[in-house]
Amino acid sequence: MHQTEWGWLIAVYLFLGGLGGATVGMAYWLGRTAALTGELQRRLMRFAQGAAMASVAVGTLFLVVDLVNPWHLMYTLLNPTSWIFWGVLLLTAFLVIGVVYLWFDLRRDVVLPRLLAWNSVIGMAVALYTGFLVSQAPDIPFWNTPALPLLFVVSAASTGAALVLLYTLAMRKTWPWLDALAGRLERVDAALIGGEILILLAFFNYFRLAPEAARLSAAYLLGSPGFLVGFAFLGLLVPWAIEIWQMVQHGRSQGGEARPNHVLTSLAAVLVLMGGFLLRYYVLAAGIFGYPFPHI
Amino acid sequence: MKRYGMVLNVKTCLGCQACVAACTQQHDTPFWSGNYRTHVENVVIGEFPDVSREFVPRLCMHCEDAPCVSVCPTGASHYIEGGIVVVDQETCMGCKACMLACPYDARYVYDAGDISRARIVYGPDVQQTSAHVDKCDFCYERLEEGLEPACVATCPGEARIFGDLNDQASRVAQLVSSGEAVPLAPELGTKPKVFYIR
Repeated sequence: MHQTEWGWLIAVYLFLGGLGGATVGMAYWLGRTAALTGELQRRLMRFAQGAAMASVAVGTLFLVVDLVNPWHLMYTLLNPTSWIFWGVLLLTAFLVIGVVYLWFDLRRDVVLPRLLAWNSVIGMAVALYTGFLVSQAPDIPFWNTPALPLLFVVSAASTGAALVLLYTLAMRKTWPWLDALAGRLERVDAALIGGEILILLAFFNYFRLAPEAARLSAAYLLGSPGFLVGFAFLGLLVPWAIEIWQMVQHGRSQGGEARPNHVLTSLAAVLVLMGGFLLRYYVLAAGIFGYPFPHI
Repeated sequence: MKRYGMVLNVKTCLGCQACVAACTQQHDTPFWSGNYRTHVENVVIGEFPDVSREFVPRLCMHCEDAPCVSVCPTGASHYIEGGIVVVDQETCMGCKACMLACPYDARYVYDAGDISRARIVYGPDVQQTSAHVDKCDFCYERLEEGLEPACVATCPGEARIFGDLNDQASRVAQLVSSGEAVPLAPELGTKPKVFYIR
């Protein structure tokens, strides 16, 4: 019996929450590893924080709309054994720090790098918590595995990288050498998608001999054209192929930086974002309970 | 200290659904949405010509290690005296994490539309005033008056037996300790306090 409690509204929330959190994480990582400084670093971080705030705020709206009684939301900070409790804490911290950072950046012309560092960690924690949240259903074997939080955080990181990638491509008129950064993001995203594929393979292998409900979930996904074509092919394999091809091209270039094909790279990034949403949609849709009872 | 539990005798349940009706009347539940705090399942066993039928009453198991209490962010799902799990409708925000955590399909959504309808069907002083996720509460208000839960009191087949599992003299305790009454899905570790004789 499929669960019907959490549908596409929650899938949008999980996607936007993970995307927002991971965007700051990936942008911060990029800034550090590429040793970015000055105006580019500042504009990149401003974009990352701003996009993250918008993403998380809109996502939370979807969450609130799904509630049966939204007026009681204020009581949420009461039970530390609930992952929703931790999610509210993390999201609140993430939003407050982000808004403070942006306010100082835009109104006071002051950059606060420590807030950035904190939000990069809190952002990844937000992405991770979404996986823990879904996995805390003891009788939905498809969800109740240790691999689900891993899958969600890797997928979120991939969507964050994709969004930052789109930004670097959009800004190349201002900084023509941004292609190098885009290339770096592509490589990271290719690694992340590779990790995602590995986790998914481990998932489906495990489900071959798992409790019956989990087997039904796996069969449902493998029989779903939306999952196979929309998520696995378009959302995962096609962008992966594009990114790997670009990496191979770069390896073949004679010195200098190979310029990534902007159209292909943008397409890959957009497909990754679509795939991130579809993954969460299908994970929720494939949640099957271990009952109906009675069977002893 | 009391530990309330129930034993359901599948061998004597006739499937008359009187318990469902009594519960609905007792708690003003939204039958128009097909939602009940307790229901009786009609189970066919075997294939023709070796067929038989069982009626299996189902309700909240009031687990001692309830996953629904563990996942509730607002604490609306909580224990009260006797190990009864209840939902505080004034605090529940309806995130439905409890419905996903429950292995026994014990909960349902009592939404704002149901509340409006309930005011008409059950009258303006209806018990359900706030949209929330609802479930069986072992009729704890009746227990406080020394009565049995509504479903137990009305059962003509004496298929529902209620009592204190900590009271060795009670029928429920004896049926459970003798092994005649067993829980559903004990391997999940929820420690349900509702047991079945099959």
